[in-house]
Amino acid sequence: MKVLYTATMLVALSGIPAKAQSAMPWKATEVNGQCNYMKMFADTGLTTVGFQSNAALDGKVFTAITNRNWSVAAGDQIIGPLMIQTDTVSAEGVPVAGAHLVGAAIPVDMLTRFVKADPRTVEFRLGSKLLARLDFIGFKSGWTAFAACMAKSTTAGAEQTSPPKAKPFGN
Amino acid sequence: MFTFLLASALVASAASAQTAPTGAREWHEHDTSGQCMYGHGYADSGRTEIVLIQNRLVPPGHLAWGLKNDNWSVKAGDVIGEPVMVRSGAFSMIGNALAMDHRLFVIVPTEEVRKFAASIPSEVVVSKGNQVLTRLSVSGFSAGWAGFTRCLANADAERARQRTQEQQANPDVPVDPFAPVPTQPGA
Repeated sequence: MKVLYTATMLVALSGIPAKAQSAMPWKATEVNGQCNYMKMFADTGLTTVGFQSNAALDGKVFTAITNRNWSVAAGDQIIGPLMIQTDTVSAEGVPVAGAHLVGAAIPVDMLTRFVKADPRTVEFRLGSKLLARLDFIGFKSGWTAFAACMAKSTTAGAEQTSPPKAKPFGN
Repeated sequence: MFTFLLASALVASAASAQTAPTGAREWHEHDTSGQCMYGHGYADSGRTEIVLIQNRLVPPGHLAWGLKNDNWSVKAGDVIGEPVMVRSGAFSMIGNALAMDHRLFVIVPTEEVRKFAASIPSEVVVSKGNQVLTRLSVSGFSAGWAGFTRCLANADAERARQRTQEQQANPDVPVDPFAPVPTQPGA
């Protein structure tokens, strides 16, 4: 008996319609107080770019790119920074490696400037090494929902940590 | 990381019901754009289905082996703590399963399923740990397999063609930027 491949999230796509395989738009979601924004590209490496924000990230957005053709693995020593850039604007952070994945926590202000530039042709680089060149069409417009999710989470967090208000007329 | 990717995938897969086999059907193959499916529906109370899938979301060289039964209470996101085994005579495949509503999936190498087809199986027993989930007749599996493999070959060729196009469009983007740099002869 052979122990075979571990099932992954990819298996979930049982018979996903062909149309959906060719183009998945930028999508913002909120799961358990965590804000996510991602897109899967229709290339052979199934490149996926994701942004993730939660309270633990303390004002940063974890930005990650995955490609199943990449041999990078968790714990690999990679030399950064991880940069996401166009001809005119860029954002960067200290890289971490995962299975087929590179990511970095990037200050939200830096990413906001990047988004405002309405980037279209975007490159991911690890130092001087080019990792990917992607068409970010629809990125800026979809970001609005992600930003709203982050703002809501921040407000909720502030309400939880602020001291109870004194009753103005109570005892 | 990327639990949202799974969530997106699950939403998308909900639309798959119309392409998946329903009720009693003989082994049949679907060859849609970018996706190969091979399935069988049973006329039992759970309307059991077996389906094998290869699409761009399943790793190349592998198939998603899916099993559905309407009576099963398993839900999307459930953790299946024990390996799932598909066994036929001396032949067996085992893997960790992913759960969906009334369904389990295991990723298996295509080559293993090819061997399974070549063994001309008549019955499979699917178990989770020591618990038998179902016992199904699979006579006819091998007969229809050839058509499915043609679809797989076409999909492989299409993937290779797309990769060539990608390389031509962006020749400076490496397929694997993390691959070890080959040492120069004499270096």
